[in-house]
Amino acid sequence: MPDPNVLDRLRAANPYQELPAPDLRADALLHRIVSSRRSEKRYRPKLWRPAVAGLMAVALLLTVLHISAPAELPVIRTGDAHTALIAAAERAGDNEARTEYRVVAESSVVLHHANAGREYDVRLTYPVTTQVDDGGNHRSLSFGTMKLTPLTAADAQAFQADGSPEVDSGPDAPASPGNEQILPGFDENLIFEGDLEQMPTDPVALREAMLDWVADHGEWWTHLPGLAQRPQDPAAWLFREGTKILSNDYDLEPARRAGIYQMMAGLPGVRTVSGTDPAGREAIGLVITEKTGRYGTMEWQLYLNPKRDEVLAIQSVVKEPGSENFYLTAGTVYSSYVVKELS
Amino acid sequence: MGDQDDFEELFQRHYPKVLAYASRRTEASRAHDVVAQTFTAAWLHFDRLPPEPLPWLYRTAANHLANENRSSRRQERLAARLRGRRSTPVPDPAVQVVEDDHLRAALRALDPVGREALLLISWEELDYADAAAAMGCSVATFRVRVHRARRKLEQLLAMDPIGQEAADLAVTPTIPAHPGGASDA
Repeated sequence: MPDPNVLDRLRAANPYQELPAPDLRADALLHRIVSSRRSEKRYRPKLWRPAVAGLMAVALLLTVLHISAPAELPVIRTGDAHTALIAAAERAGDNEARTEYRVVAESSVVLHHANAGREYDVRLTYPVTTQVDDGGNHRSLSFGTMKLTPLTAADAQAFQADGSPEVDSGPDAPASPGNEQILPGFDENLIFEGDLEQMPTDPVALREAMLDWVADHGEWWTHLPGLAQRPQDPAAWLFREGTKILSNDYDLEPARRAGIYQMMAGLPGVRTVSGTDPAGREAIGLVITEKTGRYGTMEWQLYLNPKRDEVLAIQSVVKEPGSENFYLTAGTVYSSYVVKELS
Repeated sequence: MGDQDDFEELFQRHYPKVLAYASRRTEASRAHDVVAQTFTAAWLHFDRLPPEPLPWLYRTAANHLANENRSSRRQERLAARLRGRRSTPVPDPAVQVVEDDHLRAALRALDPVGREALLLISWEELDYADAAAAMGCSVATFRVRVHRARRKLEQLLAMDPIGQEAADLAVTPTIPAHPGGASDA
């Protein structure tokens, strides 16, 4: 039975009460810190001022000579995928802003489970409902019953021999995915959560701003000042993060949603695929292939409604398994998010 | 001297909180190291600290804790290789200090992000905005994290107590071993 006072129990288990005030040890630490810094402050600016001046002079020279470094990520301006995404941007830009909406979807991901010498793969499927109301001020996310389905006949046999456990039903049962796996990606922890309203509207500037943001904030538990990270494959990362924004944030200003489509239209490596989504509906299919680390080569698929600014489905498909998903064969849908209703 | 006075004021105000934060997640000697590293970083980056620096301090302390945990695991793996055998999992130190066995085992079974979300609001008593800042995410995302972690913790606590041996061997990876990514919802 669920524990209604789980947070109270957690508060009561607080193992350490804070000191009323800093102690002698703290005083010593403070003295050590401020002493060490004072000498650096005196000398450092003098060392790097000439270097900054030198860099500025080089930059000026390059500008005068009209020389510029090649862009890290090319900007694509032609092709089927570009055209499809620019058309989607126009549809989005023509919309009225939405402040209240509801998305009902089914999410799924493959889990590999090992217990008592048995190993099997099961697809975890669960409904996800996103509700935005009260003029956009209230957002909620709810998850329905989780269901496990073995992938193959051999998996079904092993699953049955394991007692056909329900997800999270015990320490030996398959565990539901962690907090972040509402929509799976492959860069484990590099997740864009910046404020889009503060981002530039120019599509190329937007993608740079998103990459800068994730370099600063994307991986909170390893982030230290000065240790910035960028995704290994920036185009695939931007495609996936753009997809997540488009599938969730219908309350963005229409021009902002259009900007996300335009940003994606300029990404290299995006292709169009056949015209139906995983539920068999007419769709514009767009894909990008990503060589990930632990998940091998994966294909990220986005299916758009050809008539309206709506994401119909997102899928990730194994092209070549890696160390983390070695048990899957090429062509397996690893994860999916299929919208059933948007109202 | 203006910077130094301001920093000293910040230090006096937040030292007990940051020490408490670290002490709730690791043993006493390491907690003091983490606090020292955290305030040293704060001093080095003092001109860039946000107006309310406590979430930043917690976040920096969390990063130092994570780095120390990784370092411990690397040392354990190396020592095991030198001994010529496979390494045994190093228990996650993050919640070793909790006395309630059942709760400790359940907390270990949570993924680190969800667990941290719950601890920030229950032990550090942060509101959602500050806790989200401490985790470097939006408030909406933080709400989702709390919702899911709380539900999972309730389920775990509703189960029979997990055996102590299993709990001691349970290792929660510092970085979740699943692909993941969520937009605000």
